[in-house]
Amino acid sequence: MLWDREHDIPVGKVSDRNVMRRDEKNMSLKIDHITKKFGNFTALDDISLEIQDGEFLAILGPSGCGKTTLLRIIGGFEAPTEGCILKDGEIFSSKDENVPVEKRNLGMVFQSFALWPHMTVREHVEFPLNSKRCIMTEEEKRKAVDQAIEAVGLSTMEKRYPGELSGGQKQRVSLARAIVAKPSILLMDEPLSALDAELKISMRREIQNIHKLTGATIVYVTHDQSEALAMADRILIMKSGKIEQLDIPQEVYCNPRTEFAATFVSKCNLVKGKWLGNMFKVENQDVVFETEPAAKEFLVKGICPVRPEEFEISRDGNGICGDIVNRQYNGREIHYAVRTKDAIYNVYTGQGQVYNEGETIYLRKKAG
Amino acid sequence: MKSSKMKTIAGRILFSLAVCFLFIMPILSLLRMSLTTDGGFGLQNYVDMLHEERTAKAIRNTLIISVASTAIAVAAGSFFAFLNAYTNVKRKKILELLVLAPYIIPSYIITLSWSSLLLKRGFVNTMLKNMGLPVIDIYTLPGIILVIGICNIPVVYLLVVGMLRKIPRDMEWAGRTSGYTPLQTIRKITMVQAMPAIASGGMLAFLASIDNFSIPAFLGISSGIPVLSTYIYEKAISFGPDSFHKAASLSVILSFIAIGGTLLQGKLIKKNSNLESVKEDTSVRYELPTKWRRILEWGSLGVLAGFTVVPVISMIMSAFLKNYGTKFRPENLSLKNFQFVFTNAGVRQAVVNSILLAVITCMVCIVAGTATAYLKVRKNSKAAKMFESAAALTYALPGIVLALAMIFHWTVVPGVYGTVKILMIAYATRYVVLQIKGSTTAMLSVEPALEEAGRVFGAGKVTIWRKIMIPVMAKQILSSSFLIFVSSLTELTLSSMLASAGTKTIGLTIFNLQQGGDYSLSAAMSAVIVFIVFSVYSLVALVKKKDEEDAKRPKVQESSVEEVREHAVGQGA
Repeated sequence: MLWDREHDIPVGKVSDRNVMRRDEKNMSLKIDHITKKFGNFTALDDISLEIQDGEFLAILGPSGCGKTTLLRIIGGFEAPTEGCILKDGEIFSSKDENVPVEKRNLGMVFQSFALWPHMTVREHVEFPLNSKRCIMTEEEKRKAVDQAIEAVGLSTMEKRYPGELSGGQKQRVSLARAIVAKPSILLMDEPLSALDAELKISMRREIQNIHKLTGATIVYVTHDQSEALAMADRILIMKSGKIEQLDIPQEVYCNPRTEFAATFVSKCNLVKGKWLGNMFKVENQDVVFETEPAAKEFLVKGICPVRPEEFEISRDGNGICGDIVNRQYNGREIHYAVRTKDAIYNVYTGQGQVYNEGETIYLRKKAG
Repeated sequence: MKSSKMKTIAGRILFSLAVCFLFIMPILSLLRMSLTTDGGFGLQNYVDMLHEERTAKAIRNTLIISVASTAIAVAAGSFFAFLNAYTNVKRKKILELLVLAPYIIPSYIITLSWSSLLLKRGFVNTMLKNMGLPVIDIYTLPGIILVIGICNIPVVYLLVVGMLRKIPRDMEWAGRTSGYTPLQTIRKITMVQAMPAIASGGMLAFLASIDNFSIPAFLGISSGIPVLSTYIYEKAISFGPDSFHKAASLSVILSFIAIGGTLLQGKLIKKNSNLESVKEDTSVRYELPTKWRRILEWGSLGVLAGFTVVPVISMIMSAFLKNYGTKFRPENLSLKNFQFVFTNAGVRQAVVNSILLAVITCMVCIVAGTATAYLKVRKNSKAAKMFESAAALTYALPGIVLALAMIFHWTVVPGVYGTVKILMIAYATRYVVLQIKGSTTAMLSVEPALEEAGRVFGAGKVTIWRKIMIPVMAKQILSSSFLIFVSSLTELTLSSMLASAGTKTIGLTIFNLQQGGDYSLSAAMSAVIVFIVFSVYSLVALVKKKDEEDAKRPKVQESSVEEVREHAVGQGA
């Protein structure tokens, strides 16, 4: 353990309704009916949720969905138009009262790294400790800086300037700067978006380690669903300033609540038809899926969300009839586009199942 | 094969010789003149010059004026830049226009305006006298400092405002989350980032003030306050024994200061270059409380209007007076000053000369500057780079020094000195570097792929230029040539030395009228110039605005396409 912060909150593989609630007033970040308007444009529309101490929350959504605005309001860079944010029961942000950013005990990591060209790596990490907010002796400061730099593996580069670092190293500096003052909340605004594919994956591990090490609450904004699924305790899916779904990753992936959540996260095909209890009859087809009922929105709209890997292709004449219109070999799996009478569906199969473009095949939903 | 190679080598040699002859030789002539003494070569001229008491006084005045006016320009320029780039003050467009006004109005007209506003028996001083306060005299060292300071605010402002907008907001936010208040963040992060731009703006302001001739000429000659530029002018036109040699040695001293400053400024600019590609962010970063916002907004507008608008209006009003210095009352008004301006043959000749010079200078600069930029950017041509360095050198020299160098160099060639040709050559050599820089920026914004695509689809060289390069670069190129046009139209420093009886310019005519005591006539002519300059400026602004609106329209369509696409994705097609 690098530092002795307690983080005894069960960080939850449990759905939000069952999250273990400690004393209402204690140790959480409560976002209460937040609305933010820019002129006539509503960026956030009545957002409410509670983030537990030590939780890793990912806010996921396409550009313009309001995720960055929400992060900025939590950070104190913007004031909400309506509603408030409570930190441990005390007002953090509201229309009239806004605790200044510098008094919030935050750390923040930016997509652009936001390093200062005139400071060395070590100076960056020392910077938060030299502010008035920090009460440490010189010795403690030195230790904290050493530890933070070591935690991100930059001990040999302390004296370098940002111009002499690679993208990944820059983001490590940014991480070290964010954690050195032991903030209770770490805000991350698309921290991996500016890095190339390979580095993204390895930096995920870095961020997970930081989370374990510090036990800080992390609010992580991203548009990349795989990042959110991989790292977060819970995922908040947003669209057009509203919450679409708030759940643990498995739930978000397997049981999407809305059409948007289904298509954005697990790339579901939206099959039209009629629900009859545990059965779904596909529209204009003599095909029935035996399946658990989907979320309410799907029952009402007569849609069954089917993930690409939940389809199975056969030549036996059972299922929705369609033609293969596109095939992409991806190594581990093969991606097919299948055109049926009514729609085009995406299907992922194992690499052994080879069908040719133009071939007529049948689609079924896998059981279970 | 061989003969074509010979040809290119011969072409290069010819080109180099031409550049040397036009740009380098005049400077060498000046240097030679400064070293020529009765007994041959030596430093005697310098020794003599530095022994004269008036030289020491001129150097001292130059330094005092340059340092103090730079301080004014840096403080005001940076302040208004911060206000406009970061805060929530309203009326930013008017604010910027007022800050930039001295950039558009020639500095001698601003000087005339101030002297008309602060006339001994004028409105302001009468009021001060009645209140028992001391009268303000603009014909003094502080007066010169104030006017030069005001005239140099725009150069600092433009550099700093661009830099401030380029500093990413994230950098400040990172400072805030590290536990620093907004003021501490400005001091520790923003100011440090903006420092190279402020220093570089200050250096340019310093150079501009040692280069400035018209302001100390209007305010300092009659009141006996010499600075280096006016002192060189006085020496050069006095035709005393070895006055040319002495003027030359003074010029060399001034040039060293100027070139040193320019090199330093170039270094400072390089420090900025890591933020060059960052997009400007014009969003509000610091929300001032309403009360403070109003105070700063109206206070700034008031001070800025006091810097230029009020004096210019006062000057225009004085142009309608029968006798200069009388009260602005119906019985004192007349149009006789304007009648003189519009009917006098000398004035008409000067206007024709200036317009002719401006047009020709512009055209020469566009062709030479754009060709050089093309060769430099696309062909990496050494000759083009040499040409640019030579042109930068003549631009770095103070105007009065360049004028003197031109005299020494071109008197050797018959049929140039004493005609309008010397002015054309002088203007083109002085301003061409601005066009090279502007065209280079334009050229860099055109990807080579655009040109290559044209070639792939079968267009010839002429077609590529006509259909691709010129349309894409036109706006940027014209914005530099607009600057050159206005500068040469209202030029004074070069023409004060190089013009002769038939080749007077607008600036020189106003200068002569003022020096001759015809204040009302010089005011009337200045009023006309202000009107013309603003008309041209408004026209350009109008065209620009229309362009921007045209450019906006397809963007809207694009974004609606985006929306449709996103919608489609959302539907999970």
